[in-house]
Amino acid sequence: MSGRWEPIVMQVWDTVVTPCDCCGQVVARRQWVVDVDGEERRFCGPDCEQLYRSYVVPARAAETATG
Amino acid sequence: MGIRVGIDTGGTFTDLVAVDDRTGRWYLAKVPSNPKQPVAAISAALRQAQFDPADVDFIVVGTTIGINAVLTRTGARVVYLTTRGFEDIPRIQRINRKHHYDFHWRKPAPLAAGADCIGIDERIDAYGDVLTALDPAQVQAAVRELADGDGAEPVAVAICFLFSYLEPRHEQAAREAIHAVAPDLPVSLSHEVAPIWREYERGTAAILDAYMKPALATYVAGVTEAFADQGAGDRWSLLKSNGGHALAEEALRKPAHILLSGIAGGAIGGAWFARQAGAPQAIVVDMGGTSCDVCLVVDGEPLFSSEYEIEFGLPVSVPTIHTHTIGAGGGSIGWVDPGGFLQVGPQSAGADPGPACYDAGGSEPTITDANLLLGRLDPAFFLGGRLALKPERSGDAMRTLADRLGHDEVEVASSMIRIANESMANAIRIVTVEQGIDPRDFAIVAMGGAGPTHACGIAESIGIDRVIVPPHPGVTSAFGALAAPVRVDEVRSIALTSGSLDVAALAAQVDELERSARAAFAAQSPGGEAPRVERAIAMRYQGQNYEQEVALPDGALDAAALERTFERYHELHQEFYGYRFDGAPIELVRIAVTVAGPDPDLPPLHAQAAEGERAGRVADVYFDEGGFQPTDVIPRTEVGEEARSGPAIVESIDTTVVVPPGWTLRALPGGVMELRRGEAARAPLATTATAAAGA
Amino acid sequence: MTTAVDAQQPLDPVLLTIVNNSFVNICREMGVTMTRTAFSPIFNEGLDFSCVLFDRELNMIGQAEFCPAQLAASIFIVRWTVEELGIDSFEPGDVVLHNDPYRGGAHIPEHSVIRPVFYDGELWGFVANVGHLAEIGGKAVGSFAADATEVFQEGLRIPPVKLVKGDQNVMDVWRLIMANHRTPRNTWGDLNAQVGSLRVAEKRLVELLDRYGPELLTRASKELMDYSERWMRAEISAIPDGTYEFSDRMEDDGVVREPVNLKVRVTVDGDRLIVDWTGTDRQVRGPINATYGVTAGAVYNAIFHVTESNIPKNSGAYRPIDVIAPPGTVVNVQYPGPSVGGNTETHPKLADMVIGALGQVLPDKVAAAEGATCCNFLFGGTHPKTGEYFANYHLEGGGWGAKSYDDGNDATIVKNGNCRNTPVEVFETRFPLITAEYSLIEDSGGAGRMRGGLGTRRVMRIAEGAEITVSALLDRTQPEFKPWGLEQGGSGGNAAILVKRAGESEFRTFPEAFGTASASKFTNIRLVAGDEVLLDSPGGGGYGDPRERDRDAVRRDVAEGLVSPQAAREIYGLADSLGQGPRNRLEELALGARSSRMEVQR
Repeated sequence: MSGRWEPIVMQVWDTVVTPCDCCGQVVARRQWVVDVDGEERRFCGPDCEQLYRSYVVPARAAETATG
Repeated sequence: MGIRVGIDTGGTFTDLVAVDDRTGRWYLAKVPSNPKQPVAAISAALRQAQFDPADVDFIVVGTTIGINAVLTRTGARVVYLTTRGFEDIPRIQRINRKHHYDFHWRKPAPLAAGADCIGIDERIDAYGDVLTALDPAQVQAAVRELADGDGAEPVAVAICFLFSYLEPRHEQAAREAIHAVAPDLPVSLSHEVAPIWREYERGTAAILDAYMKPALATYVAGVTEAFADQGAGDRWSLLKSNGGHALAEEALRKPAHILLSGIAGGAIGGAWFARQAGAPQAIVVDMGGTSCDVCLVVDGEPLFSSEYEIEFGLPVSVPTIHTHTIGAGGGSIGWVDPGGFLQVGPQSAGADPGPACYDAGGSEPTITDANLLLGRLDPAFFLGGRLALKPERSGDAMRTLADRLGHDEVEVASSMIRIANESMANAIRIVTVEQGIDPRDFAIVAMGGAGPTHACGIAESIGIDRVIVPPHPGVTSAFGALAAPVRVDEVRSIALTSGSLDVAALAAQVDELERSARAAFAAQSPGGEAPRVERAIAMRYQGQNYEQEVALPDGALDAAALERTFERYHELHQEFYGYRFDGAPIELVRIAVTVAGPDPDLPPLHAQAAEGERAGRVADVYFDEGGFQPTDVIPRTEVGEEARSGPAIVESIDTTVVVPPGWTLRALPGGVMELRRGEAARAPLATTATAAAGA
Repeated sequence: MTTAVDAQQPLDPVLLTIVNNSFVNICREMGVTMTRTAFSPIFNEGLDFSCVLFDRELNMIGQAEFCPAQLAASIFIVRWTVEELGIDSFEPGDVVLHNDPYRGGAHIPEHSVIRPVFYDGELWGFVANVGHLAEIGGKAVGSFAADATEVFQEGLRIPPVKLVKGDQNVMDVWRLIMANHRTPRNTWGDLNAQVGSLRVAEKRLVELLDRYGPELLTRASKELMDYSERWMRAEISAIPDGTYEFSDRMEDDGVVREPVNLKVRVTVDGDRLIVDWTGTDRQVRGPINATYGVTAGAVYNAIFHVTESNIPKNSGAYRPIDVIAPPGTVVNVQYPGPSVGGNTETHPKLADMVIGALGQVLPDKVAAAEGATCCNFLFGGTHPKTGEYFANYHLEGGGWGAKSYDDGNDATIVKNGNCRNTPVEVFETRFPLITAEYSLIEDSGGAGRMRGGLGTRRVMRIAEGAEITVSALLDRTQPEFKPWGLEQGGSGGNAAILVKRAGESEFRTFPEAFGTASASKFTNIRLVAGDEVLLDSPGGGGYGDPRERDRDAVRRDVAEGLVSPQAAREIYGLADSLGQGPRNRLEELALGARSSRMEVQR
């Protein structure tokens, strides 16, 4: 895996939180940034990267196939 | 002067406790109950007690006839008359649920059928003003079917009109109209049964009242006849849910008030012994075969409430002794949950088939089986030898659990006891927290067949270091019936706010309620004793939904007295919740007046020797600290006033007292036994698996 | 203080049971303290709050189940807040407050307070509770801005801040908050109740730590979480593997009168579940969006309904469940989207969808749809008799769906709450409205072999001299949006909110009478003396073919006034000749009484 942790730096005027690209939970302090199929994705951690690769990617592919 | 009698008719047994005022002699009796013929058990108890009925001065009976009729749904057919548009309130109820995540639970079915809930055109508003007048002819038409009936089926009418607690005239007129065409039809008016706001609660109280009227009337007639037949006189009382008693004919007028008659006796008895032992702050734990009732005694008196529920969603909004019932008793079954953990109850083997050791078909391990395996019960002396227990059956039953858990039977038995004690301790903690009380300052009064067996274990869990055991814990409810004073509780809902109220009008309402209560008291007290009168107002900060009762000072209620009362409320709030809102408006929601006679004078009741009582001996009994160890087993009558250390087992016909290591026991002069935990009551428990065998 | 414990041996299960019960008891005591002292009736009568215990690693180790809506919200609120602020910023005696819907909250009226618990100078864990404040500013009185388009209109949003520092109130923060709420005294009371109960919890937790020691208690918590996880995995393994989909819709979002599509796909894969909401519409303009907290909460709520609900609710129980809530959709609203209605209106639908999806393989563990709307009705004004300002949040219970083995309950609160209704006598004592009727709606229970529960009808009239401002947030008022049945069961009846102006003779919808965009969601409508409001709650869906319903049960339904004789004949196929039914009881008794029941065109 070529992921890396990137800290989330909030300025005092930042009132917005960052969600995980996979599960949608709030990522408070640092994001797990990884390249998936050519696109940069930001997850809450390697677990979500796993979930993304094992479930989300195949599910979207299946949908575009049938959709 | 003569013999005064207290009788408690429970589900399994009917107990009798009587005292001869002339000699100080006590009489006890215990006979099996017969739910189909409740009166027969009372007669049998009188005979067993072996005193001359002609000497009887007075009898108080605590009965479960009301609650049983409700629980078994065998009361009268009730026709419910209410304001048009609100006929469905008994079915709608309060819309909340008993459990989360539960598709199974169904709301309790109302005690009045939907087809019998009839709307009448009438309406009174929140100020007591009439918006729509009542037409008596409509009311008469509504009950025509009942009036014309053949009287074969017990029937009664309950009436609840909106805001009748403010303005009762429509309900009164309705009853008059009914009696004009059907003079013998029992009618319950909501504003008489429970003059409080909240139409569902008040309406339910009226329906309950009507539901029980015919059955209670039959019962009272039967008991009166039984007493007369035995020459015990014709004047007797029923114990009320509020712990007072009322002459039977009087109690007939408001059956809703005797609904919890059976439980009140236990609380009164427990409070009496708590006072006697010099423990005005006490928790009464009455543990039987299926369940455990917990009541609080504060400053020597049981706590009261108006929010008792028969089951979730079925409230009884009349003053009752505040009781919390936990599904933990001698028959509670141990089982293993899908996660692999041991649990106890709430399922119970009851009395039939009963614990495995009864050898009556029960195969599940129960608390009684656990106690037996730990050596705490003597199989040859259970219930005074009347029931021979079979420890082998307990062992078999416990083995199934033991195999699943990978422990031996003794470990599992010990674990079951710990879990049961802990859940009772938890329930007690919740009940006391709700009242803002720290339970560790309280003593436990242990009653019922199983209470004294578990009391010290429960006490250790909570951090209580004092347990009191009455001389005959198994019949303390009957004792309570005997020890109950005449007591009248009257309440009335009001809706006033501190900033804008007319003190004189409020004072007039309080006086009126007091007069009414005093009159009811006087009718019950031929001796003309001067009663104790307590007046209180339930209040809360505006916006809150829970009120606290604050006692009014004696004397006239004027602006100064009211100010003092408000100040007292602020103080109480601070005490309970840690803050007060000076300057916030206070809502006054209820006036409560209690008129109570003095507690009867009773000579000391000492533990009486029983037939077949066995001499002291030594037996091997299991305790968490130290496992099986030689333990003194002493008959109750041999416990003296000199303190002795545990471990010990104190035996009597109706119960076994378990005294663990670290506790001492002694008899107090009045007849009560006191158990005290050694130094520093709050040491933590041992934490590893007790298993000597290794987990 | 504690005896040495062998680190290799698992802890005594009895000890674990006792510790778990102690954790739950602490949370219950927190809750009891709050109900006794809070001011907002939705808080204390409504039991709209929850109480939780956390360990140092931000796992939830104990919870008291007062309000299922916050089942999940409380987990994420505490975890994300402590992560964001940094665990080191928490000091003894601190209380952090926030109500940010994007930071785990269920919706903006819910305020969470978090307190660290130290023992022997070390941080051991956290106690927290979440409570619904009835008035929080914003564009509408009573905390439900039903047509808000941004979070700013919904009320004062408070990011995580210290409300109490070292057991001293940070008064600047308190004052700032109260200045932005319409009933500041209530806010003072409610937040004090929340903070007070945290102190009670802390005290109890410290007693527990005294009793067992911090290391043992930490170990016990971990083992309890593993235990719950094992149990939940066992339950999930018992569900047949597969992918199960379900769709449903909200009728509109309060601003745009178009349906909103919800879609879920539940994958059961061995001992884990993936609940994927991809395919749900992008977040909408009006406030029926659900926050992440709501969506995850709905998922757990559903799963506890179809599995063993005695599983101790700690973080372990949630580990086998993955929720995918794509940010920016209706099930995971992002700033600055509004979400106040998501908690009451969207949560129950989401939960029913997961239940419905699994119902395909667990037919005896599920139920048909419940009403799934609280019929939120909010109003405020000045009382003509006292001159006092009042504000109230009113809600209704609806029918619950039938199961394969039993009917559904009538008039019951939605499955994400456990509120009680306000008695008519209490209502009329406080507010200048007269209630003409509060009854069950005949035939509103979905027809079926098992019948859905009935909804209720309430008709209120504004009293003389009074004027009130009303808002409403409902769903399922339109015919194509009824609570669905299962296995050929019929739909439950619609909800409704209608108005009859003084002097008029018919009830009309609010768009007809006032030009609101939505018939079920609007704010700040002024009503005056003599105006009447009709509020219907929906019925639950039915289960099975109504023609297969036990004939005696149908007769009883008719006798009790739950099903009309006509429906009994036409829908249930009962051949008996029936009378009028008890709805006309007095008329049956040959009285010429006028009926004041409203006949409403539907």
